[in-house]
Amino acid sequence: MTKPRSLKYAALLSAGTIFFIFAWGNVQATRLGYNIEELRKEIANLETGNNYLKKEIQTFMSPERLQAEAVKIGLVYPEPDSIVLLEEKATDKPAKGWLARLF
Amino acid sequence: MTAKTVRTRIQACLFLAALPAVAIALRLFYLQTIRHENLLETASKEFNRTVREVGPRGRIFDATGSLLAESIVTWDCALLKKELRDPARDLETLSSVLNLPGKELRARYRKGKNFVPVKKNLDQATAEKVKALKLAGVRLDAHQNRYYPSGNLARNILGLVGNGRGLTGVELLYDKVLSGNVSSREIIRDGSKDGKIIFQSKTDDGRTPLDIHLTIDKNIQFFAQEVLKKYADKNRSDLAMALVQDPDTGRILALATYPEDLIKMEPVEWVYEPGSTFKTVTLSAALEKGTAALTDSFFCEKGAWALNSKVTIHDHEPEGTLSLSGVIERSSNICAAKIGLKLGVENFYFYVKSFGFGTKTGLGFYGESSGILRPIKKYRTVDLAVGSYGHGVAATPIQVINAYSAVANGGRLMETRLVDKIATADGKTVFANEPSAIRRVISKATDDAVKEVLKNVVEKGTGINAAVPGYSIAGKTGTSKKIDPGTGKYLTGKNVASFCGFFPADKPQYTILVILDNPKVLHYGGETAAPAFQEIAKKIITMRGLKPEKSLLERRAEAPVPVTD
Repeated sequence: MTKPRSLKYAALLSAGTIFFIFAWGNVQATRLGYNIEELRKEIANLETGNNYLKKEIQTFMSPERLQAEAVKIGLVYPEPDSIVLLEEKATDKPAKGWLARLF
Repeated sequence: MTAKTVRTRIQACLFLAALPAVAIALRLFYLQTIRHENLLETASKEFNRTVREVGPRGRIFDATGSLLAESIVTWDCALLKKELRDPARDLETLSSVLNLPGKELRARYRKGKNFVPVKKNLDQATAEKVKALKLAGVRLDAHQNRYYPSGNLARNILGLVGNGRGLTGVELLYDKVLSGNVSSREIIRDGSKDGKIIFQSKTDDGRTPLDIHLTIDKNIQFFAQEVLKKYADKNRSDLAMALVQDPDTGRILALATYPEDLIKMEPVEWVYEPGSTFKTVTLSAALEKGTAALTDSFFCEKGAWALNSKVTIHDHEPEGTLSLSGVIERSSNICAAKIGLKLGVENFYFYVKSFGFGTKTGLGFYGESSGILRPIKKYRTVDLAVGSYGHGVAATPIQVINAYSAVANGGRLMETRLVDKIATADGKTVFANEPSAIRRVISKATDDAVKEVLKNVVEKGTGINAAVPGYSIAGKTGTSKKIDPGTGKYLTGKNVASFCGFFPADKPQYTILVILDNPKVLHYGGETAAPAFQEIAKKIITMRGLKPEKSLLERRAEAPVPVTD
């Protein structure tokens, strides 16, 4: 009589283990699902934050804003005749000094 | 009690104990198998949601790679009245965070049934502040919004976006290219009060939006907008436009209008009689056909010439005999009419069409006009005469600048370009708009002669206010009467003043057209549009570091010439 009873207990235990593993898996999947969604939200927030920072940079670099800031510190847009253009002279001779040779 | 009785009683108890379990098992079987599909559907509706989302639109850049338009996430804040716990306190808190007048918010709250919109297009920082309040009944809905980092720069070109679709301007014209992909997200939430998301899957239509790179240079566009506003305000004009083009490639570098209209694309839709700026077309045609030469002289009838018994042509200033160059420098309508009449209707019409008038540019904007050009069969002598100095024909600003660019680049009419290329988000070019010549209009020799005359206009003619010391500028002023659209007759005291020119005249890099519609302080092109041209040209010269011509640095003007035309 002991052998069939122990088999029954073993079968019951196995079934219980299988159901437990199944239930545990589902719980883990749900928990991981929450984690994944939290991470997704965080990534989306960071990307949006990054876009907003880029937006701020672009706004600061707009010509209208640059001009306004320049005028505040007393700068004016120069006339063509107030600009001196330095011409580049091509030379075949190598630079003499050690400092010039560095560059 | 016998063993049999005990066994029977045990079996009966077991049966009674098993009965509810069997009933539950049968019920479970019924729910899990027979009612499975129905219940699964009901559960899905409660915990699953399919959300449709429109992704961000493609970006728009200028020619230098500076961002002009981009999509960004913003939030709309709303209230659900039934879910608010302490409406008075919650409204007070919300109005202080959102910088809204409390009175206005309370009034809106009282009017609303349940859903009360509070404020739209909140940025991320403000949305985070609202979220941090953790107020029940306050909703924040995220959506893609369009923002323009440079403010009003080139807004008239970019146009408007609504509900993720382009409505006007480039946003509309290239809506299919720019449109964000449409995706569906299936979301499974748990049964908690907050409905936390457990799982979501996303499918989209597979399209990716592309970026547009315009030919517009944001700095030149800024100069054009700034100068235009200054001169439009100074002269109290109804409308003003400034266009800048690269004559060699047809690329539009700036398209400014003032006041700005985000709905219409005025440079391609608005038509006007070009007036004396059209004399360049007549001059080019006459020189090309050989019906006039630089050595010819013309008698300008001392300011009034009776063409026939009904029509008398007038000049703004009475002139005697002028050379061909002098006719254009002094902008004599009478002599221009004589040149046109000698040219003949067919030749005149041929060159007007060759320069692109009477035809759309092909930019593709929906409201683009081809201008107004009477059919050749209906051209009478008087039409030819007045058409020679730009009356009786209507053109769009883009047609006029294209014609002058043709003169600037040696005689070829170029395709107009507003889009430089279309690229993927990571910069890979999908489509590049290469420059393309439509046709050669005039020969190089004729072109050189026309350029000399136009240089004279600026050096010693009506365009003297467009001159920049040290730089050779070529161009022509224009002043035409406005027409009453109702009666078709000319309006007294209402003009359209313009100046179109290019520089440096010998190797032109920029063509600029400035138009002032109905200026009320000063009226002529030489007084209003030419100075605006000069200012835009100076700014471009400085920015690009264009070298002056030493021989022109000490140039002095000859005897002053009236700038009326």
